Amino acid sequence: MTAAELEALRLSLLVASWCVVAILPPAIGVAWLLARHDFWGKSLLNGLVHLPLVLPPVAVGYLLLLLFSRTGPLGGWLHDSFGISVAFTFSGAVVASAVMAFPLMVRAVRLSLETVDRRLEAAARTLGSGPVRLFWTVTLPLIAPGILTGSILAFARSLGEFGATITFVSNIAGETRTLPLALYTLAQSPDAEAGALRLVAISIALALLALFASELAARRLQARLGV
Amino acid sequence: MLEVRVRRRLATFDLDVTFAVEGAEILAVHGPSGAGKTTLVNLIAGLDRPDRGRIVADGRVLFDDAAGIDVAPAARRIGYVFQDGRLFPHLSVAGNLRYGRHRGRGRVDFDQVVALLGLGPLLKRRPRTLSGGEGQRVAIGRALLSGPSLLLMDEPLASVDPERKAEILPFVRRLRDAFALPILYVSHSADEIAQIAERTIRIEKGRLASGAAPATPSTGGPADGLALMAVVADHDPATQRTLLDTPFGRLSVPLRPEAPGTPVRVTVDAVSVAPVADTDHLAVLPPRPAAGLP
Repeated sequence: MTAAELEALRLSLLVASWCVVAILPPAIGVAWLLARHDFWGKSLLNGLVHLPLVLPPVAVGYLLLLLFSRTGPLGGWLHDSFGISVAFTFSGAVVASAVMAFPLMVRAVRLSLETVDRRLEAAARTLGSGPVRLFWTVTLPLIAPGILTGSILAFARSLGEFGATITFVSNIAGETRTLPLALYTLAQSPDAEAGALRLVAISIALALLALFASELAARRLQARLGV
Repeated sequence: MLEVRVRRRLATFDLDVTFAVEGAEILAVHGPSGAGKTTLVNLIAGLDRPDRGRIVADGRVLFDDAAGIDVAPAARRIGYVFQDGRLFPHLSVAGNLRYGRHRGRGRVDFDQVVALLGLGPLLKRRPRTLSGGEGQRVAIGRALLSGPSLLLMDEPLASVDPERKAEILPFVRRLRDAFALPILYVSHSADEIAQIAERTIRIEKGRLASGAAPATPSTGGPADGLALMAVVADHDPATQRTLLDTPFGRLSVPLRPEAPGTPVRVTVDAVSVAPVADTDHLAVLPPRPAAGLP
């Protein structure tokens, strides 16, 4: 493997890990709202969350570019207040992945929240648990399988993210060139078939590894929960 | 100590009951399915909200619609043993037992409860590996260890094999004695009630059934009656009656052939019980013979 290919692999793993960590808390929060509460604008929130799932990724990337560029509403504010620039950087790649993976995480967590036995939560309340302790000691452990599933889906979605990333943060080696972008670059250049094949092999190995790990973790969790 | 006066609109009728539990006694709540028994227990626990009324437990007002008081279930200090156990599947038996022991709620001695309910061998097990009877014993222990001032038990033996019921019922009585804990015991089984309750109230369609004044030791619908385990105490040839010792006190029935000390089983209709003047016992009025046990 060449240094460039290793760099792409490293970037891909980093982006995907940061993506999962970053969306976990807000995804659980949104899933909670959607599963447990009725409020004005619920359908709107639901639609907004799911938009990246149905929009062409390039459109999402372009919207992000409009939002986060120096002249965009969010990007301008970030730059003026904190000196942070997201467009065309590593953090931008994480943002693109996060937006694309968010609906997958929300769906998985929401689904498992909806299957949580509310009678167990009622029992916990009679045993002195307020809302916060109830969440940490009963609800969260019970939805752990859903969180695991959501994390795997988000991680995989992030590893495969291409359209939104290349549109939003471009294809910069060492900064935003993840595996799919590196593969695309190699596929465009002549005499790079060996490198492209190696990247495909890495992608397959990574995917199999993730699937295997998730299967193992899911089995352990389910044994623990006695499902 | 518990005082309850609640009204709650249900689908086809209103639940409207007033009663009190005095001191450490076991009060049975009896009645057909769908009469509102579980709703009543949920109202007391705070899992459901009365439309109107007042609930006072251990001197604390837990609910009062007029005063706008509605204490959260977490702060009520009321133990609840559910019909379906509801053990936490992600915790071991020991973890379940310790769940309610936080923030100074650990006043009840852990080892004492474990010994009393015979939970020692189960501590490391997972809830799904327990039998129905074992699971309910753990559920009782869990409620007890949260340091409640009152224990609610909603059909705790409904999902337990008949043979295992006999294994648990004595524990319930021991609880009351060991922890001086008032217990509200919901059941539709006259047998269970006969074995453990001091006093019974009967609920039908959301109301206390007539004749079930809270001071009456035992009631039962004419259809299902009440079965008591009793022991022949004494015969009185002069009045042609026999005195029986029952969990509710002495019972006077028409003269029986069994010798004193013989265990017998008595079936009592609510309408046939009456106090006997100048004595401390109750009489079964129509001569409905008690059947001797084989």
